[in-house]
Amino acid sequence: MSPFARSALTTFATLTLLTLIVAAQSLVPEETLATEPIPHSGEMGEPLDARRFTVTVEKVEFAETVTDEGGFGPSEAIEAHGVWVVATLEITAATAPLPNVDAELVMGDGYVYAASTWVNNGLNGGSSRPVPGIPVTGKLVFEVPEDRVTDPTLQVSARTSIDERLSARADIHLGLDGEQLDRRLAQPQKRIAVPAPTQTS
Amino acid sequence: MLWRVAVLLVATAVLGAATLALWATGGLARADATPEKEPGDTVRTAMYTLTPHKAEFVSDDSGLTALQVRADLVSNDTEPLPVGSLDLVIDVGFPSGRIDASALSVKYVRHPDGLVFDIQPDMREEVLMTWSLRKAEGGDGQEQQGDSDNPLAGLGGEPDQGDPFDFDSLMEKPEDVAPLAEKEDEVTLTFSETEFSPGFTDQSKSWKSTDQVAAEMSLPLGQG
Repeated sequence: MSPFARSALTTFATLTLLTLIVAAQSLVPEETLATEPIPHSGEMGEPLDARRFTVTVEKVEFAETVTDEGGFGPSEAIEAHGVWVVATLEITAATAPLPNVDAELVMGDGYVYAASTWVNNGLNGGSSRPVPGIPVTGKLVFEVPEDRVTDPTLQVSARTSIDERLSARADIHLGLDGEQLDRRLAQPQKRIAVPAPTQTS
Repeated sequence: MLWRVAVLLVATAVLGAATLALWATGGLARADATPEKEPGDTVRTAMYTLTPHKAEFVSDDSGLTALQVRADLVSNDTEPLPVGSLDLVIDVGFPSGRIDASALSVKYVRHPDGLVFDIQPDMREEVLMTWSLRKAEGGDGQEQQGDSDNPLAGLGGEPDQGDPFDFDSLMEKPEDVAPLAEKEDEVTLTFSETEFSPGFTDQSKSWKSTDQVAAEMSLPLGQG
């Protein structure tokens, strides 16, 4: 092989390897993506096993106002700036108590709404503490502009700590879209009283 | 050869005249001048759109004097916006420098009993933004130690007197700034430009302020 051909081959090999290194580097997932909660998908009405907990969404309702249902009668009704989306669900922890329950409603167009903290009796309010083997039933409430409710997925997260990195997450597709959704949004309930989460063994 | 010299001379003359004219008319405007806004004006950043209306001193939930700004707020994100990240991109300053603002809390005028932790997307709200206040450290010069022999004096390198883990001082109710607040007649809010980016050590993405200032607004102060 002539010296020219050898150096041309060396240059070609070097450039190829450098290109491959840059390409491989760009495939490394960024920190946010690498530590995202681990999603488990399911449908409304069916038990969904998210490894750390099992969750079943029993029903979803719409309301103009919500209140806390308490021992001393209901608290003051809170009117929605839009509509209240109230989900009733049952959570069972698998192996450890899960005091940090959190939820988001992810719309079909990518808009995300966090569960409201104004209702103390909500499952995300800290009063529920799912323990292994004992199902807890409660509600999660979301305040959403009516025209933003489009094909929502309920993302429920129940964790041992507030750190959500690599935690288990249940993504429940609520199957709410089209005419049926419009009809239900047009006729929300006047008021939903949210009872404290209860154990339903 | 001669025409080259002529072109050079003419070019020099034109440039010189232009520079002189620019100098005579006050020079170029600064590109980075901070836009000054008036109360009621709208401040728009990538993260939020805010229209502050008025500012006043109020008594907060723990009975201490706090700064409350009433404003219209709408998030420009499509995901919930933590109130904590809003606190990072708005700076509160008093011209006297005697009062510092610390934590921000947000409530909605339509439901003043409920604290807001996340600003939800696409929901315009009339908000009450409340900053807790404390006396500025060394703001009035009395905190400085008179130890002129120590070149490090006042640089913060000296250990505090006594126990560094003084739990009593942590539990202590902070001093009310009401006497200082009486002397203030305006507050300046500085709004940083924002970007959704990963941090340096914490690589997860969140809203952060950039070096650029989006707007500055001075609001007259009333007593609530």
